[in-house]
Amino acid sequence: MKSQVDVRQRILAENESRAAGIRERFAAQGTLVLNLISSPGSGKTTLLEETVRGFAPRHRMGVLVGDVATERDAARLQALQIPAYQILTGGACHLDARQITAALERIDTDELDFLFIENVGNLICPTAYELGEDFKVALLSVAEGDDKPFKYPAIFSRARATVITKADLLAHTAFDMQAVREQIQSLQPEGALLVTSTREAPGIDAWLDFLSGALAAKREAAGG
Amino acid sequence: MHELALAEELLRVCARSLARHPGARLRAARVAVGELSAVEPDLLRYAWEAVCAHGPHAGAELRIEWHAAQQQCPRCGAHAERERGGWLRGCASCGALLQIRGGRELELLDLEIELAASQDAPSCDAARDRGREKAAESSAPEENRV
Repeated sequence: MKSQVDVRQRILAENESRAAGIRERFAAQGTLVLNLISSPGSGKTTLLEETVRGFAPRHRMGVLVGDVATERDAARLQALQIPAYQILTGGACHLDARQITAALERIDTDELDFLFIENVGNLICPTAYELGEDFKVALLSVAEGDDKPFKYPAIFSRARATVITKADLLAHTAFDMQAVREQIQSLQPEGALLVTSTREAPGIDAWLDFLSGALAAKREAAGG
Repeated sequence: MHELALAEELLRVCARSLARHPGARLRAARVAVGELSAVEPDLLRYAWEAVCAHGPHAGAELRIEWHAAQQQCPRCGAHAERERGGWLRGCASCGALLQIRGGRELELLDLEIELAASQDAPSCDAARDRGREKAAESSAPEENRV
């Protein structure tokens, strides 16, 4: 005899419940947790290096970085005297909350102002997995082209901020910033758009200000 | 290609629900997948077949209910008609930039199961149960089609 069983459960409910545990832990200690998502080579690690240089010693920062192979990114960040741990996914295209929970056992995050999670370079797969972050940040380098938000709507609609990187290349490409602004506005009306370069002006001050504001807002909301 | 990991997770969620129906066989799982869920339905279906193959749920069907994202005008409230996979920029009525909403579903809705013969008719003896089970299986594919 056939029978129908109602379930009504999110497929990734278990991951989401682990992520909620991570979020709770960092809410209690007032650490802002960001999940950085972009295609490979858009400059996630470079942006983090410059963020560390810009914020130290004012803020304490830590990084978890996911890659299919090599510990190169963690080594680059450890060279700046911050706790950084490399999560090797061994072929998997995204990080999940279980990997974050395990990685948190390996580095000291107790006193951090910011914990950055640098996801595996991929604009699609990491989108579906909550990692316990306060919010997602999408990076888009000028060299990738100005049509990416509409091509990868899942991530750009979920990112609280989109960071345009390698803005020093604007003069050498047909990249249309207004077109990107309109796509982001369509997908995520509350989303911030920050234009950065680590080579020349405009630099990354707008990004650092955005981070400081988000940290202050989180702590204020928590009553601290 | 995270659909394989998703299919494995989906199978675990199904198995937990099935555990409340001892001996039941999974015939089909119905899932809601949104356009902005970052999941490709065909890949999820292939991955589902792969994770079910050779196990107790081999042959169980995955029925995907697709939820398109909507484009709506924030100024005049008009809903825009759009082609799947394409986005419109301005509202046809007033020209304002359209907003994209919805399409984030990624949920197991329900299961279709074949109850074990003993659950179906507790008073039947074991031999008759087995016979009924076999009959149900052989007639299943036709009545299962949607």
